Amino acid sequence: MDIFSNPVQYAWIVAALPLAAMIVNFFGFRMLDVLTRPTEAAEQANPDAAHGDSHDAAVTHDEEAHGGHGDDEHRDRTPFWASVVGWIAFGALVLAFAYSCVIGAQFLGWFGYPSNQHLLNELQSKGVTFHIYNWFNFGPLVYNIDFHVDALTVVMLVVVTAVSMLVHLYSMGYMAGDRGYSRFFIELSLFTFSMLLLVLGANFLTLFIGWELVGLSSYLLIGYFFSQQQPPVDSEVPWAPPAQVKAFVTTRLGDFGFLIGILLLWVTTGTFNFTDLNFNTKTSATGLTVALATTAMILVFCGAVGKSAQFPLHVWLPDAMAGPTPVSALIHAATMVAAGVYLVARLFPLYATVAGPESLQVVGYVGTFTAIFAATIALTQTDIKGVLAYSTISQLGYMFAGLAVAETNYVGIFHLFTHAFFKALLFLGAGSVIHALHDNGIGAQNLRNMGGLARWLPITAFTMLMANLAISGIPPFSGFFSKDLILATAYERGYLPIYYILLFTAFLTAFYMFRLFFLAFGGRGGALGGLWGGEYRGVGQPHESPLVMTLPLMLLAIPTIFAGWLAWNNAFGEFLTGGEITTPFVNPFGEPLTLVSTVVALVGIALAWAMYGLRILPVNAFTANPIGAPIYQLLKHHYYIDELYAFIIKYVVMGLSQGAYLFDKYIIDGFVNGLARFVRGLGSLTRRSESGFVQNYGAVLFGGALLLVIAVFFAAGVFTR
Amino acid sequence: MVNLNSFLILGALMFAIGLFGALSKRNAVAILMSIEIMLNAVNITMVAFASAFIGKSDAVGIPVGSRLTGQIFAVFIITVAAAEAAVALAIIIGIYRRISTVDVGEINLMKW
Repeated sequence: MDIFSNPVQYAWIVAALPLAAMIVNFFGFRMLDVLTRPTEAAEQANPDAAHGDSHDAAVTHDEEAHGGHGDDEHRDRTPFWASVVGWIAFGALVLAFAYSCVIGAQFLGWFGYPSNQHLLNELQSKGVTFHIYNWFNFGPLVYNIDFHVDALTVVMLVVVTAVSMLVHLYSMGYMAGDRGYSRFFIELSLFTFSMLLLVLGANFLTLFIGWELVGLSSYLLIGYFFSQQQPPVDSEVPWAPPAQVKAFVTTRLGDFGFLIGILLLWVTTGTFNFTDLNFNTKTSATGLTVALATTAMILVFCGAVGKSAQFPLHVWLPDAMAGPTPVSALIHAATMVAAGVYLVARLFPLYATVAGPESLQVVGYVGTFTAIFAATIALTQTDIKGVLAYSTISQLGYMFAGLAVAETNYVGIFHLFTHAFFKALLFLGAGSVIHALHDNGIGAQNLRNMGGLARWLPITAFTMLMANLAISGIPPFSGFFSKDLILATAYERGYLPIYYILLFTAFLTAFYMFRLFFLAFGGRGGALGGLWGGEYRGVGQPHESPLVMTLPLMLLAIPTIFAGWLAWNNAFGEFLTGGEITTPFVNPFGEPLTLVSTVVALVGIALAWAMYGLRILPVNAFTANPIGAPIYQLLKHHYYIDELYAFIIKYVVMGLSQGAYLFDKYIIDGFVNGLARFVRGLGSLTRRSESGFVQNYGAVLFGGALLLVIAVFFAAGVFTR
Repeated sequence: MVNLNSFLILGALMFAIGLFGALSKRNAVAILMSIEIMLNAVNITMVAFASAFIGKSDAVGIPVGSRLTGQIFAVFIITVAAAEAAVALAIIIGIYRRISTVDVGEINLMKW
């Protein structure tokens, strides 16, 4: 079959599968699920729960609202049709993942591929574009829905489908018994489809459709508990309805710049197509000056800043933790926030060769600043998902820095690749912890209520430990390779400020990640100096999650540990760039630079161990002295960025809009109303001539006729003859 | 000598007299009579032109007025004038019943 002999040709199937699952579920099985619910009478009896799925809304304990579970009478079993929805969504993703792997195999020339050597060569160098659909044409504007498949696309396809598939599987356990179970899976399918469309798009139009759909589905998923009527009791836990709006609006701010950038590029080059833009753009030939290209690329980067939560638009991501935890893993760790990084990587030749060096410098410095900025905030958070949220922002900063310092885009993309796995694992592990604790009537997300959980949650704890080691950059875990690649590239290409800042960030990362681990899973009196088990500060009896949740954790642990080896001998880079890596591969284990970054990470771990595991270094030593306390407060409150934005909106934006309102009311409206009043006044003067006497009208009529006759005679020359 | 011009001058004079009456008389019935004078002035003009051009042709040889057009128009105008007089008198009676006067100086219902 052609589907298997030349799978690249059918790459659209990968995106079509989740879309088909969504449509079937939305119009079919969700209807059955809703119709077969035995809740009509129960909803009548309980007016708070009468908003469709909004069943979590009225619960009084915030951990119920965040654990993704409903009231006790609903929570035991997932209704039959809802579970059908889940299985269809999951099955579609399994197929999509399998097909992505087949496409990857064709790229690598495995299993007897290539059947077509010419196509393969084209694939590996530039990729191929497939025309899917001509939407409309309007003069020189040609709107095509085209898909482009190259190595970058394949990497993204595999990452997105793999993480999404495991998140689907995990959600079957995590969301079990929730009223919105079927809605949740439909939204997950929609999200996955959007992300795949974004990744497959061959031009800005297709990418932008996916881009906005990703924004929409993240809006829906963050606001999964959309009818939470009051903020959660734990003030560190975000509140869903405002959080979803915040995520949407904040990313829209970046999209505004993105759109202007797209339009700038279109006006000057006349194309939306990435291949044309990347490889055929010449400055000056098309009216595209270097300054204009640089401006356009920085504007496009604005979109990436919004979507990938870079400073100053990072504020939405921590709040996006209001969604259920699998959503956090899928959208806000592994895939959606990767869209911005993907965008810059996709346009990398345009950044590196067409635009001036300033564009990549902006990317690099924004990324570097965000990395250290978010890492310092993560030091003080006590919400387990909050720590991970800031850690994500920080790691995304690493990716942008990696893109900016390297010659090709593979350095940043490799970190995206490894980060997707270990960050998804971290989030799913955090979800497992929340799942374990949320029955106990305490703030299930707060690290203060944890401790010693490794005793009850050995699988979660072990996989989390793997992910922690990976993100900290300890060899030979995957994060070590990708992070070290960024650091080494920055150092060798002379970006020393970026190198030193990122090195320090690596220390902070190791510290805060192990702080999280010790606070959640270890503690005083645990084995291995407080690493494994210890004093439990919560109440009740935590329990390990079911297999459906731990299985994704174990599966994710595999790439978390081993994915880094893909970079050995520049294999990943050569795959991604079509064998154009000029820098020779240096064995990271034989390089002093690597030693430095590993030691830095180990120092971070050791500090966390001393403070939270062994407890030989009291935390108060840092937070209670006159210098440390204000810094602690500053970090604890996220540098007061939210308060600053609130202030700006309240006084500056509202002040400006008040001024605009008054200008509109008194100047613009005043002019228009004045004109109307003038016309009315004129009318009230002239209407006096309408006396109502027929004879006056007759006199005017005949007088006019007389004048006409005189005029005609005059024109005919009667008087002058 | 009585020729076409004499009839035309008579028609013009009658029209002017009728117009003056229609614009200056205060009594609605008198205005109606003035309008009749104007209509009859037109009739005289019509008939005069028609009889003056019977049997004549224009520059390209097409017969002018050979079909009694003017006379037919005059008959039409007489008919229409009769109908108009009936309607106008009905309106005047209607106005009189309503505001007890036929003095057009006091009738200004067509005002703004």
